[in-house]
Amino acid sequence: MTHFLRSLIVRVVCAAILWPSAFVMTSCVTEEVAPNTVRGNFDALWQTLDERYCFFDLKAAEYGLDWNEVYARYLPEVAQQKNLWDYFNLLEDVVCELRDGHVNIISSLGTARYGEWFDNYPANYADTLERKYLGRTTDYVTTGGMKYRVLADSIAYVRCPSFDVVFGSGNLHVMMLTLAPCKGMILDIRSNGGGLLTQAEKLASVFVNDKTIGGYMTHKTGKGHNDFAKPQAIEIEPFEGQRWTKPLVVLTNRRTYSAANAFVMFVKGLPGVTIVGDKTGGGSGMPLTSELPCGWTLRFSACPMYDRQMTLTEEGIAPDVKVDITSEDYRRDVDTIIETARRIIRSAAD
Amino acid sequence: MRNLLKRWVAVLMWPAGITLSAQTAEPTPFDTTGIHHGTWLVGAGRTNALDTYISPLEYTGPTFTLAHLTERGLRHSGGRVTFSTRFDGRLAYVTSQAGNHHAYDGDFTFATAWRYNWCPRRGLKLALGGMAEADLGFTYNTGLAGNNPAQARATLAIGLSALAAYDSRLGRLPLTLTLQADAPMVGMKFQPHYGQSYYEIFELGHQRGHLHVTWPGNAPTLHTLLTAQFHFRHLTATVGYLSDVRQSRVGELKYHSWNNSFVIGFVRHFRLTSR
Repeated sequence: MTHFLRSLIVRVVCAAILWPSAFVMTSCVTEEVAPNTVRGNFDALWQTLDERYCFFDLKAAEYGLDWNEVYARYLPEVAQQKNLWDYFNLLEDVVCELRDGHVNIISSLGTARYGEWFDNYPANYADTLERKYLGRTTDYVTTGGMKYRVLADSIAYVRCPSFDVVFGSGNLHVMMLTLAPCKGMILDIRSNGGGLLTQAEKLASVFVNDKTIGGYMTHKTGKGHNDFAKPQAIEIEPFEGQRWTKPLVVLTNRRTYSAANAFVMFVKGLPGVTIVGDKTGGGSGMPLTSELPCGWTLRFSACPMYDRQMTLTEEGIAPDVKVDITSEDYRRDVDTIIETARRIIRSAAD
Repeated sequence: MRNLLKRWVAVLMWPAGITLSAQTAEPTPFDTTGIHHGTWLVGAGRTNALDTYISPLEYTGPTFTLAHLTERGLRHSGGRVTFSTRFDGRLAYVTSQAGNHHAYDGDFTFATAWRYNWCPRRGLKLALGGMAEADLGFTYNTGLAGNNPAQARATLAIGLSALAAYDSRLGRLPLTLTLQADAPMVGMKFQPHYGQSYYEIFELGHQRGHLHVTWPGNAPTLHTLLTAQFHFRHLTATVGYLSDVRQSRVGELKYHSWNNSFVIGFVRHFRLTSR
């Protein structure tokens, strides 16, 4: 091997080690993060939502939200915050500008949240009334977080208070077999604040006999307010066990939210299904989380869902039959909404 | 500062020069025995982890590594071509800057390399070749509950592999200093879209566009291992420094995992036989 060649080899191998090393050392992939200061955390909050929140256009059209104006309006107040509680309350005011129950700041001081989507409306639900209809513990069955019984007029009443509890296929199958002789079913998801979307999908699968499009879902692909992927279908596969083909009335109120809102979206419009009660609370943006430099968790709507007509359900889903519980019925221990549902099922069965 | 910069530039540009230096020694023989040289390494160090899918904040903390490397000369090349494999398993427990959130960050890497070897002078071995690498990684944040507490990573890449080994002595004890670097040049990486949930990917089957082409411009990545092997009578012990820099900037998401570990281990020499 010539002297020249040997030298060249040494240099080539050294280059193969040194140059990538130097390149990598000077090509660090990092993220610019605001400092952990009063101003820095405010900036991080505003910027994270600016880049990742998914309903800016909807909120602008609905009530004229201008996110840049929000920043300009709150910035002068930020510097004046000396007290941690006041600062937390100020940031809560900022997130409440989005009027979205899925936008929260979670800290040791508490959880900042927007609640006017249900506070400004009648409750249309009372656990004393639920107890009246379900009866004593021995009168109903509890399974997978749900309670059910057969009412006196042979109508099934199923109470599903949350989708946080995982129910299995076995739970659903046995429940449907037990209730199969009934004329119809009342599925009460009032004040169901959501939980696992997979559970909402699973419960909806009991009420479809063919693969059915329950809605559409999309997500952001970039930091711009309009950077979204093309919405894709949420397909509900029929349940493999016992399914329900008789009349179904789903009871809703304003606190029917998030995954429960999605459940209503999945089943509304299906044959034999009637939604009764109040408009749902919405919450159709699947939330993701991030965090602020101070360590507070920031939750925000990130993946919007649309119904079959490609309408966003963030503002809630209107019932087929709008009913409020009357003051008179509250006094008489009668749930106006359940009684309306019973009438609908009886008339469908006759 | 300027002097420091000049020195760096000089070091970096030296390989590109063609000035000849004295290279007079005879080449050492290449290994044609077919014996596998397997090295087990365990290490501990520190990881800096960032994944903007989960959080914009960098997490740092201790990391633990287990690696196994093998190398053997291929007989048909007269030992000039060596085939090597590398398996790395790494697990880190990292903490956010604010100290209130924690995450597990791990990678499992399998890489193979074929390198052509030169011995430009006695005791010095240089090798350069190609490598292929598969990496599976994850980050699981235990504090940020919600729909994006975790991130999964999968990459396949091919690239350059270089090695320099120098036989020396520490007193009467023979030792080999080795510097090895693997740099992926082109590959594929699985990654969710910027704001996409795993519910969409795995429950709804919305699986379009998750594979991204990577190259040093958007995923500057380098695996470097510097070791000193001490050859005792019946044992070769190894100490060294492992740097595994994994980074990417694709689909508006940024990721880095900078791992620096001190490693210790031993070398086994064995031959694979068929019955």
